[in-house]
Amino acid sequence: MLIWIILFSILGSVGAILAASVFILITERVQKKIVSALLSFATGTLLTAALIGLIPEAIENSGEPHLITIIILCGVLFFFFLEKFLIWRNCQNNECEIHAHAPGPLILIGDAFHNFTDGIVIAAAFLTGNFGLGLAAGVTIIMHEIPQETGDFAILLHNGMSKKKALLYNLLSSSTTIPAAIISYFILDVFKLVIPIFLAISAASFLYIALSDLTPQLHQKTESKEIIKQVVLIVIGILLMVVVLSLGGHNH
Amino acid sequence: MLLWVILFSILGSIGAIILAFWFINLTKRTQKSLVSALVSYATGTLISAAALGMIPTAITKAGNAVQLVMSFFLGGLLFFFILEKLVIWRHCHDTECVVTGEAAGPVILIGDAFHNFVDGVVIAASFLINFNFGIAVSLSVIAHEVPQEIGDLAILIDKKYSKKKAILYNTLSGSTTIPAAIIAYFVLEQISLAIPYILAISASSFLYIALSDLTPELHQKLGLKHSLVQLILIFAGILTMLLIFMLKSTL
Repeated sequence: MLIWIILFSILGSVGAILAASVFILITERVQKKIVSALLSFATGTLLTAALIGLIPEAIENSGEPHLITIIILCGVLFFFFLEKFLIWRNCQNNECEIHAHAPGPLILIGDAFHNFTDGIVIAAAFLTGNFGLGLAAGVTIIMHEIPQETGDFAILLHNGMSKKKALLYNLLSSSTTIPAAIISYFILDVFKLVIPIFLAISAASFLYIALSDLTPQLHQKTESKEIIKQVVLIVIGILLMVVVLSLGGHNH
Repeated sequence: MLLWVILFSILGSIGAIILAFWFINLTKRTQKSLVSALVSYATGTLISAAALGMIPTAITKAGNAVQLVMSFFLGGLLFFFILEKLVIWRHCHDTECVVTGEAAGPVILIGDAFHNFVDGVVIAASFLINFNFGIAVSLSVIAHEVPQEIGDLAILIDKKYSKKKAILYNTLSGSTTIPAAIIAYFVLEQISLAIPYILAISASSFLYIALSDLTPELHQKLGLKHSLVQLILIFAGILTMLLIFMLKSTL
């Protein structure tokens, strides 16, 4: 199990950065297309992983639907205020007015914090003993990290950082996923009771990112061709997650 | 109970429009700060009505079929995403379009009619759960309808509708809440098995509005003072919902 957790925390941090750095190298036109396709796809996977995977698992695991939904509410509020104070984080492309001026160090600190949370999510999801859920959480994190890191990269370069430096700093800040995943694996393995709470917080984070960050960006495109593309990609994201989640492997 | 459903569907549609009209006549400055206060308060009530009321109730009523309830929730989110997309698309043919500024009158009214129809179904389903639940949900409907209708009225007046015409058309399109609530009341009373799933879809509409529509608006205001005001009002919304949910049902 630990192997899977480590594998997905590497893919979701270092792997996402490498994919993002490839995107930064290709032409802007292609980059924009891929990033916007990934945004739609990630919206579908985030919502499905949260609603069909994390929340049902948290509720069934704890037997406390009220407690779980209270934690989701608190989680959403927490992410609202986190974003409020770290507002530059929610921009996925380099045209964003507020975010273009965000200083490099803040981007990196925000990234480090966010990826630390990702690590916890991966560990908690695999520790439920439901392999499909772990896989779903891992894939979802990779999918939303790639456009996120592409945005961070663009901002760092925009701020005058060299490509090499931007890559190095971004790698360092985002690799917090890996120790976070390993530490939480050992902690949550002992305190199994709190796993549903972590699943609920993860679900809140997924819902918040999909609805408050990604959806408004998707709504900026209004041509009918784009609409169809977005809906198709969201549905593909949903279907992929349903398939991954049904891989199951439940042992309780 | 039907009387309460009718009363609150009137308050949530025509009542909201009358309040909105009163707001429109205030000075721009007062109007703006009142609207942004209402948006924060509505965000708090919508999220907590969905998370503390509708979702747990839907799950319990569905005999703990969590995944099934959540599938309806997911379907609802996708539906509201596509709906919003189509409303934006119908009046936005170039990519540069600022959504609200360019919206054509009829599209606003059709969107409003449809949205308020959903509100009516939500109100009926909630009162069928119990009285407090109905009150809590109706209050969230009113809280988000007032700023919504203010925006609609402002666009219509901006589109050279006279004030009288704007309010007349808006009242007509907004009043779909009332027949929707009455029809939904009788239908859902017959097939009460459907209530948990209707609740799940209602919850997805609340969460979608709060997170995708209102939150980006709230994030446009930065700075410590605005953030604190938003924080307090969101908590006020949550507390209102908690208090109503915790009061013993009186009917």
